[in-house]
Amino acid sequence: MNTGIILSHIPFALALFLLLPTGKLPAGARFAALAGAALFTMIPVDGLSLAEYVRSLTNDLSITSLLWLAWCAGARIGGIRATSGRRHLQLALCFSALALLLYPAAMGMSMFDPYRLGYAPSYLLVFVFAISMALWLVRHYFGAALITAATAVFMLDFRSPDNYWDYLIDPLLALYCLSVVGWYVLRRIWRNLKERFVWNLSTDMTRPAFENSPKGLISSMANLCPEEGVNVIICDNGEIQRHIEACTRSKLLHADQI
Amino acid sequence: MSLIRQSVIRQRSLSTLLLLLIVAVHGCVWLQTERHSVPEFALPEPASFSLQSDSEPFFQTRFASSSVDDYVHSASVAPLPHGGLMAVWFAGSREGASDVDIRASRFDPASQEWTEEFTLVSREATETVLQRYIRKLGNPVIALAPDNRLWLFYVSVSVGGWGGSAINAMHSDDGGVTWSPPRRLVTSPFFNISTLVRNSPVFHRDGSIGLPVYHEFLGKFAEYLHLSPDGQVLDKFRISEGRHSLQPTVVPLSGEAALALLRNAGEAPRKVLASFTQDRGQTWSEPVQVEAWNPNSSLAAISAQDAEKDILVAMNNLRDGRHRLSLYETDPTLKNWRLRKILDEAPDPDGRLLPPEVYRMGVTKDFLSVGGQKIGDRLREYLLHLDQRILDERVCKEGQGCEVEFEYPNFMRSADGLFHVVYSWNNSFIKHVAFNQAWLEMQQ
Repeated sequence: MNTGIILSHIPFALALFLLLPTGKLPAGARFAALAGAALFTMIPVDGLSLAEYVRSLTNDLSITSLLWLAWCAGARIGGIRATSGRRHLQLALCFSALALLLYPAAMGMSMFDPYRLGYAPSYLLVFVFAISMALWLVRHYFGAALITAATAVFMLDFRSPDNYWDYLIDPLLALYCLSVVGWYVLRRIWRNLKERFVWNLSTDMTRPAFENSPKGLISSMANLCPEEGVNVIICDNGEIQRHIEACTRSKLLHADQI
Repeated sequence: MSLIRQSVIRQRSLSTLLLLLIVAVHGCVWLQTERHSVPEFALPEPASFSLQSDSEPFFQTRFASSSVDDYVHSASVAPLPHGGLMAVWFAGSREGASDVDIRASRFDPASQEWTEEFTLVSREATETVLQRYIRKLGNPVIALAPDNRLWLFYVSVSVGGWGGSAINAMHSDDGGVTWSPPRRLVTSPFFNISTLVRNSPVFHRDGSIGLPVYHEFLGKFAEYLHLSPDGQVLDKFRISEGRHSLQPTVVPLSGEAALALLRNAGEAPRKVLASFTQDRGQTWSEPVQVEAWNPNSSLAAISAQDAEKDILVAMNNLRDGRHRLSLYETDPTLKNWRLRKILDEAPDPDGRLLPPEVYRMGVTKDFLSVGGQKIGDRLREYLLHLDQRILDERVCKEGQGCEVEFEYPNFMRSADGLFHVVYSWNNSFIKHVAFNQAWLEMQQ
């Protein structure tokens, strides 16, 4: 079994497991579900396994997809901390930008073909290094590690594709990230429209969340989330989150507890 | 408090370690990355051809394929390292059918005959080796590299139509007797689909391969793949963009310059598109329409005796239809096109559909004009095949008539100085035409 085949079974099994509603099951049952998903990918049909059929359609997934899926599956089973909603969105934004840079031009929308930069990737490496550093600077260690791991695998070169882009991104990852960003943007637009509508109806509406808090904190939080102070939450690591689901419940401190 | 401090110290250590890893990994890859340059084109030396064959005019036609009942299409021909030729094409019940495989036959220079055709690679074999579902096979291209390695590139599709194509590569180091397993070339970021091959590659001075390819998914445009001598993709360069140009045929004009002629898939009336490179294939000029017509059909070109002066082009120089295939000579300015020979043409000069009886009579006459020892047997077999059918569905449509087509030429020149063209003859046979420089000069 070559690496290509292994790489076709693993992501398919992980994706299948993540699609299953296993969130409320005990850890053992979740692990069994993952094992079941792995076995399912091996079911042979006309001489090829299901994973190989899926691979015929999807081609090999990128290393970043594979690791991201593995991380999410690990978080689902337990033992690995899930990335916060904000971090997830930031990473989706990063890969969406890469996808928009790569796919339209590579598929013929211009004479410039960014895909060719991946064959002897000196320039692309500098660009990706800059992205990794930017992620590190904003303390998005997961994203920086993901991209660095993909680059390390490209260096080890044990996969068959020989274009650096194929280690960084694939169309399914692009589609997922664009969906995440698109959904976020739509929600923001919807929320803004809703708030504007409510604001116009009730003129005495105020922003009560931090009225009794220290002045500095109020102003800094108001700057971060000027339109909805009530949802602002502080994690114990000092990060300010806008939504309660962004932090695990045990690590939350509400603004009014400070 | 101490726990918090420990946690902070651990987090800082991890972040520092990650920073070091980011720098180290990217730095290592950057240092490892080879900067490929594209060497000059390898031009065939006129002296390398045995000019003995040029003393007397020589012109010969044969059928390279032997099956009488398959749909055959998209032939390609290459010289073999120790003399002779090998032709490849795809054949099956119809274009795009799951029973289509890549067929081949060898030309024996001693007997001047093609061997019985054989299956070189099948859909099932490709599926087994690549371990992915393969729906159909398409265009094959064969070429002999300067290191005497024979290369076969062919199209396979897993999902959808030709837009879902990928290119596979195989090679043979013993003149086409045994072949390596197929390997998929990585040419596109979008599921590695939409790249097809049609015309023969050219070679660079270091033995690297310049493979003209095209996309047929969201757009129709041409590219030049630069492969290492062992078939790894080193780089690729765009020849055209948009939705109307495909199937480039590349002719090196000098070490630095080359010409690409392209099939025009734009709005009718269409003319052949031409693009030039002056930097060994790295950048190409915007394609322009030249004098010759192109009815959205494949064409093939090769440099003649003097690469910088003469170019031979086999094409359907027609506004519409593929009922006449002609051989033209031109020069790199592409302003002077001289007809050298009509290789094949339909009985009706306008290519109108023929009644089945007329088609039968016409092909019998055409068939007998093709030489070869077994041609009489082949004709009897072919007519028997036609007799068993109301219509030959490869050519005729019920209630409409029969459309005679001569298309998809492929060109090469062998070491003995002979030019060879292979093309689809009514989608029923692969026809081979060979001629020499003396014959060509006689046509002027």
